[in-house]
Amino acid sequence: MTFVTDEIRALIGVPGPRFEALAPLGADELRRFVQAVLEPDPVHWDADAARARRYGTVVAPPLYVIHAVRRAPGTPDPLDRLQREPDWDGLDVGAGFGGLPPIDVPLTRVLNGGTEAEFFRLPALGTLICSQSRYIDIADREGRSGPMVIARIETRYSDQDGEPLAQVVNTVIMR
Amino acid sequence: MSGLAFEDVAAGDELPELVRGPMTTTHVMRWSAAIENWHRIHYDQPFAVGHDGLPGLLVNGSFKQHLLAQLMRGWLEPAGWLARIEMSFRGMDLVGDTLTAHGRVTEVAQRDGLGLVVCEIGIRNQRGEEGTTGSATGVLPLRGGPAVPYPFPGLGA
Repeated sequence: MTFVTDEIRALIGVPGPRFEALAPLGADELRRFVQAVLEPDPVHWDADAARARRYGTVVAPPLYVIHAVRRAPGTPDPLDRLQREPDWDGLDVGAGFGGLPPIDVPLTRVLNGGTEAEFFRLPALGTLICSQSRYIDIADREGRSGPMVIARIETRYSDQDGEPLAQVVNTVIMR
Repeated sequence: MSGLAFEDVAAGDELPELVRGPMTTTHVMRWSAAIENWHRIHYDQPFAVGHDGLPGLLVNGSFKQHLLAQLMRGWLEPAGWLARIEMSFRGMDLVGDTLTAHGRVTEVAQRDGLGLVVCEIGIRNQRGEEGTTGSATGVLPLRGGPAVPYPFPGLGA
Protein backbone atom coordinates (compact mmCIF):
# COMPACT_ATOMS: atom_id res chain seq x y z
CA MET A 1 0.00 0.00 0.00
CA THR A 2 1.34 3.46 -0.82
CA PHE A 3 0.24 6.84 0.43
CA VAL A 4 2.70 9.29 -1.08
CA THR A 5 1.03 10.96 -4.03
CA ASP A 6 2.53 13.41 -6.53
CA GLU A 7 0.79 16.15 -4.58
CA ILE A 8 2.57 15.09 -1.39
CA ARG A 9 5.88 14.66 -3.23
CA ALA A 10 5.56 18.25 -4.46
CA LEU A 11 6.13 19.38 -0.85
CA ILE A 12 9.74 18.18 -0.99
CA GLY A 13 12.22 21.04 -1.16
CA VAL A 14 9.71 23.85 -0.58
CA PRO A 15 10.99 26.07 2.26
CA GLY A 16 8.57 26.55 5.13
CA PRO A 17 8.07 29.76 7.10
CA ARG A 18 11.07 31.43 8.69
CA PHE A 19 10.86 31.56 12.47
CA GLU A 20 12.71 33.76 14.91
CA ALA A 21 13.24 33.32 18.62
CA LEU A 22 11.12 35.77 20.62
CA ALA A 23 14.23 37.59 21.82
CA PRO A 24 18.01 37.47 21.55
CA LEU A 25 19.54 34.68 23.64
CA GLY A 26 19.57 35.87 27.24
CA ALA A 27 21.78 34.85 30.14
CA ASP A 28 18.92 33.88 32.47
CA GLU A 29 17.15 31.77 29.87
CA LEU A 30 20.43 30.02 29.11
CA ARG A 31 21.10 29.49 32.83
CA ARG A 32 17.76 27.76 33.29
CA PHE A 33 18.46 25.58 30.27
CA VAL A 34 21.98 24.49 31.22
CA GLN A 35 20.88 23.70 34.76
CA ALA A 36 18.00 21.54 33.52
CA VAL A 37 20.16 19.69 30.99
CA LEU A 38 22.90 19.08 33.61
CA GLU A 39 25.45 20.74 31.35
CA PRO A 40 28.98 20.39 32.75
CA ASP A 41 30.90 22.86 30.52
CA PRO A 42 31.36 26.35 32.09
CA VAL A 43 31.58 28.05 28.64
CA HIS A 44 27.77 27.99 28.90
CA TRP A 45 27.67 30.32 31.94
CA ASP A 46 31.11 31.62 32.85
CA ALA A 47 32.43 34.55 30.80
CA ASP A 48 36.04 33.91 31.86
CA ALA A 49 35.85 30.25 30.83
CA ALA A 50 34.35 31.25 27.49
CA ARG A 51 37.06 33.88 26.91
CA ALA A 52 39.74 31.24 27.42
CA ARG A 53 38.21 29.11 24.65
CA ARG A 54 37.41 29.70 20.97
CA TYR A 55 34.04 31.24 21.83
CA GLY A 56 35.13 34.51 23.42
CA THR A 57 31.75 34.91 25.07
CA VAL A 58 29.18 32.72 26.80
CA VAL A 59 27.49 30.38 24.32
CA ALA A 60 24.61 27.89 24.32
CA PRO A 61 25.18 24.14 23.84
CA PRO A 62 25.09 23.04 20.19
CA LEU A 63 21.60 21.49 20.18
CA TYR A 64 20.07 24.43 22.07
CA VAL A 65 18.83 25.76 18.72
CA ILE A 66 16.13 23.11 18.46
CA HIS A 67 14.37 24.63 21.47
CA ALA A 68 14.91 28.29 20.57
CA VAL A 69 11.61 29.16 18.93
CA ARG A 70 8.88 29.48 21.56
CA ARG A 71 5.22 30.47 21.71
CA ALA A 72 4.71 34.21 21.78
CA PRO A 73 2.74 35.71 24.66
CA GLY A 74 -0.83 36.58 23.72
CA THR A 75 -1.17 33.65 21.33
CA PRO A 76 -3.65 30.80 22.00
CA ASP A 77 -2.58 28.58 24.90
CA PRO A 78 -2.13 24.98 23.70
CA LEU A 79 -3.04 23.73 27.18
CA ASP A 80 -6.60 25.10 26.69
CA ARG A 81 -7.14 21.86 24.77
CA LEU A 82 -7.04 19.96 28.09
CA GLN A 83 -10.28 21.68 29.13
CA ARG A 84 -12.12 20.22 26.14
CA GLU A 85 -10.14 17.01 25.84
CA PRO A 86 -8.86 15.83 29.25
CA ASP A 87 -7.20 12.76 27.71
CA TRP A 88 -5.03 14.79 25.32
CA ASP A 89 -1.42 13.68 25.77
CA GLY A 90 -0.01 17.23 25.71
CA LEU A 91 2.08 16.59 22.62
CA ASP A 92 1.89 19.19 19.88
CA VAL A 93 2.55 16.87 16.95
CA GLY A 94 2.74 19.75 14.48
CA ALA A 95 5.62 21.32 16.40
CA GLY A 96 8.01 18.72 15.01
CA PHE A 97 7.23 19.80 11.47
CA GLY A 98 8.73 23.29 11.58
CA GLY A 99 5.56 24.99 10.29
CA LEU A 100 5.57 22.88 7.13
CA PRO A 101 2.26 21.84 5.57
CA PRO A 102 1.11 18.51 7.06
CA ILE A 103 1.53 15.34 5.05
CA ASP A 104 -2.05 14.31 4.39
CA VAL A 105 -2.03 10.54 4.87
CA PRO A 106 -4.42 8.34 6.88
CA LEU A 107 -1.78 7.39 9.45
CA THR A 108 -2.26 8.55 13.02
CA ARG A 109 0.89 7.63 14.95
CA VAL A 110 3.89 9.92 14.60
CA LEU A 111 7.22 8.61 15.89
CA ASN A 112 10.64 10.19 16.14
CA GLY A 113 12.86 8.20 13.82
CA GLY A 114 16.08 9.96 14.73
CA THR A 115 18.09 13.14 14.49
CA GLU A 116 21.17 14.13 12.51
CA ALA A 117 22.84 17.45 13.24
CA GLU A 118 25.80 19.40 11.91
CA PHE A 119 27.27 22.29 13.85
CA PHE A 120 28.99 25.40 12.54
CA ARG A 121 28.91 27.81 15.47
CA LEU A 122 27.37 28.00 18.93
CA PRO A 123 24.78 30.72 19.61
CA ALA A 124 26.34 33.42 21.77
CA LEU A 125 24.47 35.56 24.27
CA GLY A 126 22.64 38.19 22.22
CA THR A 127 22.21 35.97 19.16
CA LEU A 128 18.72 35.99 17.66
CA ILE A 129 18.23 32.39 16.58
CA CYS A 130 16.27 31.94 13.33
CA SER A 131 15.09 28.72 11.72
CA GLN A 132 13.61 27.50 8.48
CA SER A 133 12.58 23.95 7.58
CA ARG A 134 11.83 21.97 4.46
CA TYR A 135 11.04 18.39 3.62
CA ILE A 136 14.02 16.74 1.97
CA ASP A 137 12.35 13.37 1.51
CA ILE A 138 8.88 11.82 1.86
CA ALA A 139 8.61 8.14 1.04
CA ASP A 140 6.45 5.09 1.55
CA ARG A 141 7.93 2.15 3.39
CA GLU A 142 6.55 -1.23 4.33
CA GLY A 143 7.18 -1.75 8.05
CA ARG A 144 6.77 -4.87 10.12
CA SER A 145 3.55 -3.43 11.57
CA GLY A 146 2.18 -2.31 8.20
CA PRO A 147 2.63 0.58 5.80
CA MET A 148 4.54 3.65 6.96
CA VAL A 149 5.48 7.02 5.56
CA ILE A 150 8.96 8.29 6.39
CA ALA A 151 9.56 12.03 6.13
CA ARG A 152 12.92 13.74 6.54
CA ILE A 153 12.73 17.36 7.65
CA GLU A 154 15.78 19.57 7.40
CA THR A 155 15.94 22.69 9.57
CA ARG A 156 18.62 25.31 9.09
CA TYR A 157 19.39 27.51 12.07
CA SER A 158 21.12 30.82 11.62
CA ASP A 159 21.72 34.05 13.49
CA GLN A 160 20.10 37.42 12.75
CA ASP A 161 22.64 38.05 9.95
CA GLY A 162 21.94 34.73 8.25
CA GLU A 163 25.22 33.19 9.43
CA PRO A 164 24.71 29.44 9.87
CA LEU A 165 24.64 27.93 13.37
CA ALA A 166 23.49 24.38 12.77
CA GLN A 167 21.59 22.15 10.41
CA VAL A 168 19.35 19.43 11.80
CA VAL A 169 17.54 16.64 9.97
CA ASN A 170 14.70 14.93 11.80
CA THR A 171 13.23 11.70 10.55
CA VAL A 172 9.54 11.37 11.29
CA ILE A 173 7.79 8.03 10.98
CA MET A 174 4.04 8.04 10.37
CA ARG A 175 2.22 4.78 10.73
CA MET B 1 45.52 25.63 22.94
CA SER B 2 46.03 22.48 24.97
CA GLY B 3 43.76 19.49 24.76
CA LEU B 4 43.28 16.40 22.67
CA ALA B 5 45.20 16.23 19.36
CA PHE B 6 44.52 13.89 16.47
CA GLU B 7 47.65 11.85 17.21
CA ASP B 8 46.32 11.04 20.69
CA VAL B 9 43.40 9.09 19.24
CA ALA B 10 43.22 5.64 17.67
CA ALA B 11 40.37 3.48 16.43
CA GLY B 12 39.08 1.36 19.30
CA ASP B 13 39.65 4.03 21.96
CA GLU B 14 36.84 4.35 24.48
CA LEU B 15 35.57 7.81 25.43
CA PRO B 16 35.20 8.73 29.10
CA GLU B 17 31.64 7.82 30.06
CA LEU B 18 29.07 10.34 31.31
CA VAL B 19 26.62 9.12 33.93
CA ARG B 20 23.30 10.83 34.77
CA GLY B 21 20.93 9.56 37.36
CA PRO B 22 19.02 8.04 38.80
CA MET B 23 16.76 10.35 36.79
CA THR B 24 13.91 11.40 39.08
CA THR B 25 10.50 12.71 38.09
CA THR B 26 11.76 16.07 39.32
CA HIS B 27 14.70 16.08 36.90
CA VAL B 28 12.43 15.15 34.02
CA MET B 29 9.83 17.74 35.05
CA ARG B 30 12.51 20.45 35.24
CA TRP B 31 13.75 19.55 31.76
CA SER B 32 10.25 19.45 30.26
CA ALA B 33 9.49 22.86 31.77
CA ALA B 34 12.79 24.35 30.55
CA ILE B 35 11.96 23.45 26.96
CA GLU B 36 8.18 23.90 27.35
CA ASN B 37 7.40 20.38 26.26
CA TRP B 38 4.06 19.42 27.81
CA HIS B 39 3.94 15.79 26.71
CA ARG B 40 2.40 14.12 29.76
CA ILE B 41 4.29 10.83 29.42
CA HIS B 42 7.24 12.65 31.01
CA TYR B 43 5.63 13.91 34.23
CA ASP B 44 2.04 12.63 34.65
CA GLN B 45 2.35 9.09 36.03
CA PRO B 46 -1.39 8.18 36.02
CA PHE B 47 -1.60 9.33 32.40
CA ALA B 48 1.59 7.58 31.25
CA VAL B 49 0.68 4.27 32.86
CA GLY B 50 -3.12 4.31 32.86
CA HIS B 51 -3.83 6.01 29.53
CA ASP B 52 -0.77 5.34 27.37
CA GLY B 53 -0.01 1.91 28.86
CA LEU B 54 3.65 2.71 29.47
CA PRO B 55 5.68 0.98 32.19
CA GLY B 56 6.41 4.37 33.81
CA LEU B 57 7.34 7.96 33.07
CA LEU B 58 9.79 8.35 30.19
CA VAL B 59 13.03 10.31 30.11
CA ASN B 60 12.79 12.75 27.18
CA GLY B 61 14.59 11.87 23.98
CA SER B 62 15.61 15.52 23.77
CA PHE B 63 17.46 15.22 27.09
CA LYS B 64 19.32 12.18 25.79
CA GLN B 65 20.33 14.04 22.61
CA HIS B 66 22.05 16.69 24.70
CA LEU B 67 23.71 14.04 26.87
CA LEU B 68 25.37 12.55 23.77
CA ALA B 69 26.51 16.00 22.63
CA GLN B 70 27.98 16.53 26.14
CA LEU B 71 29.78 13.19 25.91
CA MET B 72 31.41 14.16 22.62
CA ARG B 73 32.25 17.75 23.50
CA GLY B 74 33.63 16.80 26.91
CA TRP B 75 36.13 14.60 25.11
CA LEU B 76 36.87 16.76 22.04
CA GLU B 77 37.08 20.25 23.55
CA PRO B 78 38.85 22.58 24.02
CA ALA B 79 40.92 21.92 20.87
CA GLY B 80 38.40 19.77 19.01
CA TRP B 81 34.99 20.53 17.54
CA LEU B 82 31.86 18.39 17.44
CA ALA B 83 31.00 18.67 13.74
CA ARG B 84 28.24 16.12 13.35
CA ILE B 85 26.09 13.88 15.49
CA GLU B 86 23.25 11.52 14.72
CA MET B 87 21.15 9.30 16.91
CA SER B 88 17.95 7.31 16.99
CA PHE B 89 15.75 6.16 19.80
CA ARG B 90 15.04 2.45 19.85
CA GLY B 91 14.04 1.93 23.44
CA MET B 92 12.59 3.72 26.42
CA ASP B 93 14.42 4.93 29.50
CA LEU B 94 12.22 5.35 32.54
CA VAL B 95 12.20 7.66 35.51
CA GLY B 96 14.38 5.91 38.08
CA ASP B 97 16.90 4.82 35.46
CA THR B 98 20.55 5.77 35.46
CA LEU B 99 21.83 6.71 32.02
CA THR B 100 25.39 6.07 30.92
CA ALA B 101 26.52 7.78 27.71
CA HIS B 102 29.41 5.96 26.09
CA GLY B 103 31.42 6.08 22.89
CA ARG B 104 34.17 4.36 20.98
CA VAL B 105 36.35 5.60 18.13
CA THR B 106 35.65 3.64 14.96
CA GLU B 107 37.54 5.58 12.32
CA VAL B 108 40.30 8.18 12.14
CA ALA B 109 41.37 10.09 9.04
CA GLN B 110 43.31 13.19 8.08
CA ARG B 111 41.80 15.75 5.76
CA ASP B 112 43.03 19.21 4.75
CA GLY B 113 45.45 19.45 7.67
CA LEU B 114 42.87 18.41 10.28
CA GLY B 115 42.00 15.13 11.92
CA LEU B 116 38.56 13.55 11.69
CA VAL B 117 37.43 11.04 14.30
CA VAL B 118 34.25 9.04 13.91
CA CYS B 119 32.74 7.49 17.02
CA GLU B 120 29.88 5.14 17.66
CA ILE B 121 27.94 6.44 20.61
CA GLY B 122 25.03 5.36 22.71
CA ILE B 123 23.20 5.51 26.00
CA ARG B 124 22.54 2.44 28.12
CA ASN B 125 20.60 2.18 31.33
CA GLN B 126 21.34 0.12 34.43
CA ARG B 127 19.44 -2.82 32.94
CA GLY B 128 21.99 -2.85 30.12
CA GLU B 129 19.42 -1.70 27.56
CA GLU B 130 20.82 0.40 24.70
CA GLY B 131 17.83 2.65 24.09
CA THR B 132 19.74 5.28 22.13
CA THR B 133 22.40 4.61 19.52
CA GLY B 134 24.20 6.84 17.08
CA SER B 135 27.44 8.13 15.70
CA ALA B 136 29.37 11.38 15.78
CA THR B 137 32.23 13.02 13.93
CA GLY B 138 34.72 15.23 15.70
CA VAL B 139 37.44 17.40 14.21
CA LEU B 140 40.79 17.58 16.00
CA PRO B 141 43.91 19.59 15.25
CA LEU B 142 47.07 17.73 14.29
CA ARG B 143 49.76 18.06 16.94
CA GLY B 144 51.60 21.31 16.19
CA GLY B 145 49.13 21.98 13.35
CA PRO B 146 46.64 24.82 12.84
CA ALA B 147 43.63 25.18 15.13
CA VAL B 148 40.25 23.87 14.03
CA PRO B 149 38.60 26.85 12.29
CA TYR B 150 35.76 28.59 14.12
CA PRO B 151 33.09 29.13 12.86
CA PHE B 152 33.48 25.64 11.45
CA PRO B 153 32.67 25.55 7.72
CA GLY B 154 31.17 22.06 7.80
CA LEU B 155 32.39 18.64 6.79
CA GLY B 156 31.11 18.95 3.22
CA ALA B 157 29.75 16.01 1.30
